[in-house]
This record gives sequence, structure tokens and C-alpha cells, in this order.
Amino acid sequence: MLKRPAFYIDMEACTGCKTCMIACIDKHDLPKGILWRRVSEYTGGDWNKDGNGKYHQNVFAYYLSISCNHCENPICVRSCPTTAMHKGPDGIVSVDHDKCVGCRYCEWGCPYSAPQYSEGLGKMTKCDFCRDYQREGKSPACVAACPNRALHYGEYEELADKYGSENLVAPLPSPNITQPNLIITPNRNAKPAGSQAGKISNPEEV
Amino acid sequence: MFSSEWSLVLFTVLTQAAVGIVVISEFTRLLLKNSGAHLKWQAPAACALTALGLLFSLTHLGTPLHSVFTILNLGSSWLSREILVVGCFFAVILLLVLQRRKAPEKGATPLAIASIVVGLGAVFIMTRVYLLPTVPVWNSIATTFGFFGTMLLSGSVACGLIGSLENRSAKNAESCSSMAGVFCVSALVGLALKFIGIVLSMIALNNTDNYGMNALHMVADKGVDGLVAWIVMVCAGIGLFSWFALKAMGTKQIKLIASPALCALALVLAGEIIGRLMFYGTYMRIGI
Amino acid sequence: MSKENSAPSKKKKGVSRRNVLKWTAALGGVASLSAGGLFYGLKKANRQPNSDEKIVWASCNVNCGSRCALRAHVSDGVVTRIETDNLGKDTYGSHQVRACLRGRSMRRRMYAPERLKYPMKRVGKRGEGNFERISWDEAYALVAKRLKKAIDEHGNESVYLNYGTGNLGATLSKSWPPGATPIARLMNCLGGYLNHYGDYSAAQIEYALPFTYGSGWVDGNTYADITNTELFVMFGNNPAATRMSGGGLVNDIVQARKKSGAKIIVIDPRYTDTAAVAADEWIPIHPGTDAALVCGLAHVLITEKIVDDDFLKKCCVGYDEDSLPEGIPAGNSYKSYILGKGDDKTPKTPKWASEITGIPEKRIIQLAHEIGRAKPCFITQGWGIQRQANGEQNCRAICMLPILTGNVGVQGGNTGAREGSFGIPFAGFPTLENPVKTSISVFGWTDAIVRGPEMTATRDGVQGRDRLIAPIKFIWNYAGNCIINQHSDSNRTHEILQDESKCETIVVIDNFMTPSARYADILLPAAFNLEEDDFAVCGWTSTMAYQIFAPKAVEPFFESRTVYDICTGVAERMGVRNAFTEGRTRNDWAHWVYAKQRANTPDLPENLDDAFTQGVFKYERKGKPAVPYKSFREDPKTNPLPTPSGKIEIFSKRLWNIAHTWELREGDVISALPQYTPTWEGVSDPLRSEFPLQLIGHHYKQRTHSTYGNVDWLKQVAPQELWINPVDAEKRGIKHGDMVKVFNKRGTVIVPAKVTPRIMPGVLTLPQGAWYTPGKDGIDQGGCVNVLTSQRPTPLSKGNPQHTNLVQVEKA
Repeated sequence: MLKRPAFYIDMEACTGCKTCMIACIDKHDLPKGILWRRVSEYTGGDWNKDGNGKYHQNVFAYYLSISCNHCENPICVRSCPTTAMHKGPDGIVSVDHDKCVGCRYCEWGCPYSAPQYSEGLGKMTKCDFCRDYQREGKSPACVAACPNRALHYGEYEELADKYGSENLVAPLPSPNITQPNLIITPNRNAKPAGSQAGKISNPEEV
Repeated sequence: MFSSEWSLVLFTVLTQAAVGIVVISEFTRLLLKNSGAHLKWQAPAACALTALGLLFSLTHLGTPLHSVFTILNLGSSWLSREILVVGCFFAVILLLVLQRRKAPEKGATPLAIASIVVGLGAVFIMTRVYLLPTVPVWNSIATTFGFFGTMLLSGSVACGLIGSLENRSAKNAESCSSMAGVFCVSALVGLALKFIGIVLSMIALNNTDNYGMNALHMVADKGVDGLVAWIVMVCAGIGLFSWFALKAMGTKQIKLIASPALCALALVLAGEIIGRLMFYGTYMRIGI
Repeated sequence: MSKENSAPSKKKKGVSRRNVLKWTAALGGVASLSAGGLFYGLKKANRQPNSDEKIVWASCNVNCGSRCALRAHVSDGVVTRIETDNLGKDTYGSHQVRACLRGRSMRRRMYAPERLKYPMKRVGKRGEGNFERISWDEAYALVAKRLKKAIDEHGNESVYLNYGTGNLGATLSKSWPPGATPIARLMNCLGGYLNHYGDYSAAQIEYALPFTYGSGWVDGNTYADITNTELFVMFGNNPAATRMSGGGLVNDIVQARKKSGAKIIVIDPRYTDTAAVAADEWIPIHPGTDAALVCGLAHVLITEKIVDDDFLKKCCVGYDEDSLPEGIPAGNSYKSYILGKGDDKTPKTPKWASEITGIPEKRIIQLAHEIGRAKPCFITQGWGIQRQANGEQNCRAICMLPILTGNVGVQGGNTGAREGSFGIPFAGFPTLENPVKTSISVFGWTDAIVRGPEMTATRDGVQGRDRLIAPIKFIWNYAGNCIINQHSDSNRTHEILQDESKCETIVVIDNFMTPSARYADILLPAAFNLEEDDFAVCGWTSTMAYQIFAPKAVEPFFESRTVYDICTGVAERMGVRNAFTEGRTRNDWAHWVYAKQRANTPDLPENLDDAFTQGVFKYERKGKPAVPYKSFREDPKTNPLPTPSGKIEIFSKRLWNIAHTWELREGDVISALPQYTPTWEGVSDPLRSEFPLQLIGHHYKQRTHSTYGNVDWLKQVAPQELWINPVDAEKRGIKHGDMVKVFNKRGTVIVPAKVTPRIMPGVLTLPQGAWYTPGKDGIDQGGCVNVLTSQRPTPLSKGNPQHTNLVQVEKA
């Protein structure tokens, strides 16, 4: 098992296909409305007519596939009143269903929408980094599924050595809040965090 | 626009009102000697309100049976602390009520002081629960002003109502009229806090721009009715209450307050509930 | 809905009670999940692994252009999880053929509530969807009776095998091409059937490009060659939605881009996912005007002399007046056309092109310079641009860019056709020869129902006869949704099919109660591809070919049967069982095909079961990417093209003759040169005063055409939405997520709006393939674009112009 597991996203390869989402749903039998991994579409650009009546545009779009980042300083763990939300010795942030009271306070705080409430269980659920697969030496379902090899995982330090430690593109929040174990190679469309150039344009899908 | 967080709305408004009742009535007791005889029912009422609030909070939970675990994370969770401190508040005022039943004027003062301190602490910790770094709309001093404002507004009007009812045939009118003065002042202070809170929260809302969605614009778009209703009801309630409280001071007849205070309490509570619904409704988190 | 739900689940042969119970459990899980009540997932996660759980190889056989390997987890006879290729170290070249989101949702599709369980016959009117359960014996007898009647009364040419691609890529149960299906074999035993040519994907390019490059499939350089080019220009073409496999072209383009320094430009009305991931620049263009852009570019290239004169002289005819074929009047060369010296006297300047395409004039000039100066330049096109009323012109016109600049037959160049693919042939199931040679366009079947014997060779593109001898009376529709969903103008088709005296019988063989299945007279449940042994052939790839050996994972669902067994049943009633089966069971044929394939690829294991165990066999293509037409380019005299002149025919004498002999509808143009021709419901149609917006229907990740269109997981992550630019949305007070009404004279669709700058102003796009779901008022609630598309065929290939539509939109 890894000590500090992290996800790595190569935005140059992500087409927003959402195979990771479906692999996750299938692996964990997620019911409708619960998506442990979500692909956000960040889109921007304007259309302006010139004097000849022809449009000019600077449209861009890119996708970001985000699940739980199993943060170093997870706000969900910090704020959970019951300690049900915890970071294990394997670095994985998960919910102890024997304790979770279903207050949804972790959901309020997490800037990645990682903890998700199950009406059926009356408790929170979230990405467990496919702990069972990792124990068997297999990749998490989303990583093994990625058709364009945009999604990887590994030991944070090793990934950081290989790809740098950048993880700041819009619309992600400042990493100072939770210190996410996420590394990103931005693509040429990527806007810096806090940019007002675009917006999440698929709220209905995530 | 309005959220469906009804349990939390009722929990926070009722417990804050209860703290207000306790803080104002116990402070009045300490301030005005012999006022105790005229302030018998405030603490029991606060006790009942707190119990009711706690019951409402349980309905928010997906697995209420696990609520016993909610005080396990006092080290880092403000929510855990909130649950503990509201529980303590309930326990302290319960003790206070029992102590007074046993011996009306003996040995209750330390408990009274404790209940004020724990109550104020409870409201403070409640504000901290909402000061989340990922929720800029809430993460503002406006939340603190708002919660303490609620405490004073609803607490003073409720104290006034209870005071007028229990002293309908009071003999020591002098003491009662001073009480009315204290309630009136605290109500006006509460209103001031509320207004500062509203202005500050508008600023906080305007600064919340989550990738093209400005929270203030959202309020302007969908929440103007609620905002106006909230302000009008609270102002009308406090105006009514203060007017009659002043009148009661002049005529030394606290019973004059009874009907207006009932109206005022209804207006203030309804306004505060609308305001609190809007507070939850403007929840907008940064990130994705 | 159908009566099938209320049908008694009496015990039938071949279906044990245990099977029914386990399916009921599987379906029950589906039902309770969709009700949102039961979160059995986490409970299941705690479950001990079932001792009898097995993992078997499977494949996703749909018409997406890719093909993927799946690994089905099977527990207690039910598929419980789907994974994908996990073989090897996933090094590019022997990489894993990872399935896309659709393949990964396979179990949700397989156990969807729409799954058919029993043979049924229609009660009530066609299309209402009311059916009555019958036995297989009754079903076979009924099909045989109707088939005999059609053949006896109207001849074999009244029997039609409709286009169906729901099991494309399979071998024994393949549904496309229809001529290679068990149904074709059955019909060939009975005297044949009416053929069709072309397909809904690429009817026009397949028909038109051979006039330029010679007969047959016009090949292209592969995406792997992006590493060897300077500039890569895509006209349309969105592999991120149409070739989505991790072993397919989208991965090839992503991998090639990483290694390549080439600039990538995407020309498309829509900022596609391919543009998002790969393009350095997006040039939005009005639908149907690609040929006009090419003319404007050609004008710059020609006037600024950035054309490859040597190549044009050596390898092409019709560029200038000197190389026009004999007997053609002067002024008909390409150069004359572009410079305004032809009949229309209009120079095709960048300004002229700008007015039509909506692209600023400056950008056209700059693009011409970029294309002219890049050595080499790789120009490719998708198939969307040819599903236009002038699609035959668009696709030929795009090829003019590499022709003018001499980029054909070079490393890092291309023909201008769609990119090429690397594959390994797979043995087929023999379907015998069709004695009937008559063929209609794939798009012409509704006309052939209405006015078959009026359809002629020169007016309607009938092939093999001057005129049809019979209308279509009997339709076999296997694994296809073209009856109502994927064919144009659903409302007109509905009207045509309402008259049962015209097309008398529709037999649908499918897995699901699709919109087309609702129009069946006899509805037969086919086994799912995970419920039978089969071999799946490779999809489109650049560097690695593969074959997938997929054994039966679970027993067929309820009473469903393999299409081979269904055909055997009908063959028996028709008295041709022995001719049809040659004494072989489906399993015998599997071994027969495998033995043939082993002759092609001897490295396959001797035993079929071993192949089923290994699952995927991969073949890397080593060395530099292939360059089609290289030998021709180097020595056109020794290696001539299969055109009449042996050269690239910019001017096609064959088309000249067709243009002068065929009867065309008013406004239709067939021209010897690849020209820009304005069309009905095109960007310059006066009808825009009433219906101002152009509507296209892009391919969408939620579905492969209409396959997977009923899968709830996919609908959740990729809902059906109409794309509309903020400029057009604001004018109409439409906000993101609003329900809107899209309509024209052919029909109305209600669908949520996706307000996005990713579609250009003046253009809407409604992803094609959503399931037609008409309300009582006939208004479609499912978002099926074909409610709005036209059945008017294109001039030359008589193909489907499904992206040529004018509509209006308003808030619903």
C-alpha cells in the first residue's frame, strides 16, 4: 500500500469522456445522484461581431476529473463531529459507517464535493481510493479505466518528482485549504485558479 | 432560493432565542435587585426552547442513533463543540431551574452566571461552525453579528412577553418598568447588530463570486422578497415592542406590553426564520 | 406500454425457474436503484467475494468506430461488474484496449428495463407499442407465413434487410453489413432480397471520393503520421466522440500530439471535445459551407502561386484548361472555376468565402498561407461534413487542399479523406450469394415502400435495374433503430408505416424495446452479445490491431435466442433448414470460422477455448506510418489510379456524364468539379426568415448512435441537451437548463438547453441518437433529432443529409 496516495491528471490527455465516472459507479454500485468522481467542464470565451458582421471568438473548454483528493489536511476530517471521517494509515480518507451520524457537515466544507450523502444509508459516502483494489495490487477503477491515460495515481512524492507539484487551475480552490494530494499537468487552455475567464458549464452533470 | 434546512433553521433560531432569554433575564436579575420575583418563568421557558431546538437538530441527522458520537471530535470540529456546548447550556439552565424550585433565591447566582457564560459561549461557537474557509458567504464577521443579533432580538422580546404575562398583577411596578427598559435597550442593541450583520453579509455575498455566479446577484435575482420581509418584520416587531416598552416604563404598567409583545415576538421570530432560511439558502461553496 | 409486462411467466423450454429468479433479482436491483430507494452498493462492498464468481472476456459491439474488450464479472449467472482490457504493461503499441464510458456501462444496458424477454406479435396499431406474447413456434410460423406471402405476391425484391449496426463488429451475430448477417444467408437460401448500398455514416463520401481518387475506399494517412507533419487540419472529425476507445483513434491522436510539434486546427461549427483536447485553434464554420471555405483557400493558393504545379501536372487532371479531358468545353477547369472564368463568372475570393462560411476574410487568407507553406500538411475530414445536402461536394472539395498543395502520397500528408486505419482481416460467417442484384440507396427504403416501382436508376439511384420491380413489402430489421429513430423525418416515416397495405410486415430482432421495435409486427428477442460466443474485430486504430475472443458469459435472457437460431427456426418453416445450416450448429460455425481465421493469423492458439481464455490478441504495426498513394505519386504512369484517366480527377468526366443524364430535383447540383453549391435549408436558404437557425446533430458520448440510449448511468453523466450559443439564447430569453421547443415544418422536439459558447451563433446542435419518445400530441420528448431532419436524398449518392436542417427554437 502507498503511504501518501495521490491522483495525477494529465489535462493534455483528458477529453472529458467520463469513463472514470462510469467505472466508479460500476465498481461501487453507486445509486443515482451519488458520483464519487465527477468530470467538470470549464468553459469560457466570448463571441463578438466585427464591422463586416463576422464573429470573432476566444472560446476554450477543458475538463477536470476530480474525486476525493485524500488531502493532507482534509477539511472533512477536521470538521466531522464524530470522527467517522478519518484519514487512515494508508493515507486514504474514508467514512466509518459505524460512527457517521449523517450531519452532512463534511459535505458543506469540502471544496471538491467529495463526501456525498446517501439518503438510503442516512450516512455520508465517498471515494475510498478503491482500497480493496489497491490491496490486491490493482489500480483504482477510474485510473484503470481512463482511455486516454489522463488519470494516474501513485505515491505523492514520486508523482511530484516526475510531474512537478502543480495543482492549481481554475476552477479548483486554493490548495492551502486542504493540501490535496493531487497533481496536474495543465493543458494549453488551462486558466489559473481564481480566473474569471470561464465557468463550470455542466452543473447538471456533476 | 430558500433552502430546505428547516431543522437547522429552527435549531439555531430557537437555541439562540433561549440563550437571549437567559442572558437578558439573568443579567436583569443581577442588575436589578428584587427583580427575581418578576422573572420566574424565563429560565424554564429557555430550557424548554433549548430542548425543542435540540430535538429539531436531531431531525437533521441521517442516523440520529449515532448522535452520541457527535462529541468525539472536540479537538478540531466546531460542530462537535457546538453540540457539546448547547448540551451544557441546556444542563446548566436545567440545574438553575431545579435549584430555584428547591430554594428560590439561594445559591442560584453562580449557576446564573454560569448559564450566561455558557450561553454566550454557545452562540459564539455556533457562529464558528459557519465560519468555513470554503464558504465565503458565511465566513464573515457578519455571521457573528447576525447570530448575536438574533439572540438579543428574540431574547428581549420573549423576555418582555413572559415578563408582562407573569406580572399582569404585579405590585412592584417600579422594578417592572426598569425591566422593560432593559428589554427595550437590549432589543435595540440586537436590532443594531442585526443591521450591521445584514450590511456586512451583503458585502460578503458580493465578494463571493464562484466562477461567474455572484451570490449577491443571486439574492437580488431570487431573494429580494425574502430580504424585504425579513427586514420589515424584524423592524416592525422591534418598533412595536420598544414603543410599548417605553410606554410601560412611563406608565409603570408592564402588562401593557403583553399583547404588543406577543405580536412583536411573532414578527421577530417569523422574520428571523426567514432570515435564517436565506442564510442557509445563500450557501455557496468555492471549488467544484 | 406493451402487454409483455403482464404476460404470465409460465415455464418455457430452455428457461429454468432458477434463471427467471436470478434475472428477476437483477431486474429488481435495477428497479429499486432507479427508484432511488436502496443503496445496496456499500452493503455489497462488504460482501464476501462469491466463490463461483468468474471473469470472462467480452466485447462491446456497436457502431462507434472503435471496438473494446471487456471483462465481465459473472456471479450466479448474472453479470455484476464490467472491467476492461488489463493485459500487459500498457505500453503504447501494445496498449490496453480500454473501453469508453459506454462499454463500462454494459451491465446496465444488458439488464435495462427495456430488455425484451419473449417473442411477441403486435396488437393494435403500428408504433403504439402494444404486443402480445407468443411462443417461438408461433413466431417462426408467423414470420414464415408473412415471408412466403411477400415473396409469392411481390417477389424476392420486395423483401428488404434494413440497415442495423447494433451488433457491429461481431462475427457470427453481426448485424452490419446486412449482407453479411445470418438473415442474408437465410434470404439467399430463399431466392434473395433487395440490397442497399451506402450507409448512414458515410454514404456520400464513399460514393463521391472514388470519382476523384478511383474506385473503392479512399484511404488516408493514419493519426500516427501527425508526428511527421507540420500542420494538421481537421474538417469536422471528432474522434473524442466517434472513436472513443483507449485502443482507438482518440488515444492515437492524444499520443501523437504529445510527440508532435504540429499545429492543430479544427474547423467545425462546434468546439468539440477533440478541439478541446487537441486543437491549437478552432475555426467555427457554418454547416454545409466547407466547400466554400476550400474555394476561398484555393483562390489564395492559386493567385499567390503556392500550389504544387509539378504534382498537379504529373498526377491530376482538370486543374487547368490544359489538363481537361477531351470533349469538355473550355472554362471548365478548376482554376477557371476558382478565378471566376467559368460559367458562373464569380471569383471565389476569400471575401466571397467569408460571406458564406462566416469566417473572417483575414483568417481565410492566413489559413491558406499556413496550409500552403506547411511541408507537409495533413488535412483530414470527418463524416459530419458529408452528411449535408451538398455533402458529396464538401468531401471532394476538402481533398482539393492536399491536391493543390501536393500533400497526397507523402509522409505526414494525406489525401484529404478521413484518416486511415490499421487492421487485420477477420474470417466471416459465409452468407452465400444474393441472386438479386438490385440495390437501392440505404436512405431510400421509405420511398421504396411508398413508390418502389416508380424509382429509377437515373432519378433515384436504383442500381442493378433501371427501375425497381416491386415496392418493399417485408422488412427484416435486425439490431437496428433506423425504422423510426435514425432514419430522417420520424413523423413522415410514422405516416408511411401506418398504412399496413404498403409495407405489410416488419420483423424486428433486437435486445430492447427500442423506438423502432415499437413498429414491429413480429418482435423477436435476440440474445445479447454477452450471452453467446463470438469474435469481435478491431475498430479504427493507427498503430495496433487486435481481435477479441468473447465467450458466452451468461445464459440468454429469458427466452431470447441467438440470431442464428432464430434464422434456423424460420429456415425450417420455409423448408431450407439444411441449406441454411449445412448441418452445423452455431457452435460448429464458431469453430469453422475460427479455423479459417487461424489460417490468416496462425499465431492464434489451436484450441478455440484457449483463445476465449486469452481474450485479446494484439498486433503492433512497426515502422513509419503507412502512406497511401505513395507509389502512385512517385510513378503515376506505372502505378495509375483506378480512375478513367489513371490520375487524380479534379474534373471527373464520369460525373460530367452523370450530371448530364440524371434527372435531378430542382436545386440539386451534380458537378464535375468539386464546387460549392448552396442548398435547400442551407445557410443562404430564404427559408431562414422563418426558421433562422441551422441545426446539426453531433455524435455524443452518451450513446453510439442510439445504442446505449436507454442506459440511466450514461444519461446521468451526459444528459441529452440542445447546444445553443449565448447570443441566440439571450435573444430568446433561454437560460442554461431551460426546456426549449425546437421545431420546423417536419416536427417538434422538447429538450433542455445547454447554453454554451462552444457552438457558433446561428447554429444549434442536438446530439443524434436519443430515443424518439413522442407524446400524445406527437411532440418528441426524447430529444430525437430525426424528428427535424428531412428525407430528401442528396443528388448523387441519394444519401442522408441529416445535418442540413433549418429550425426555430423557443422556450417551452
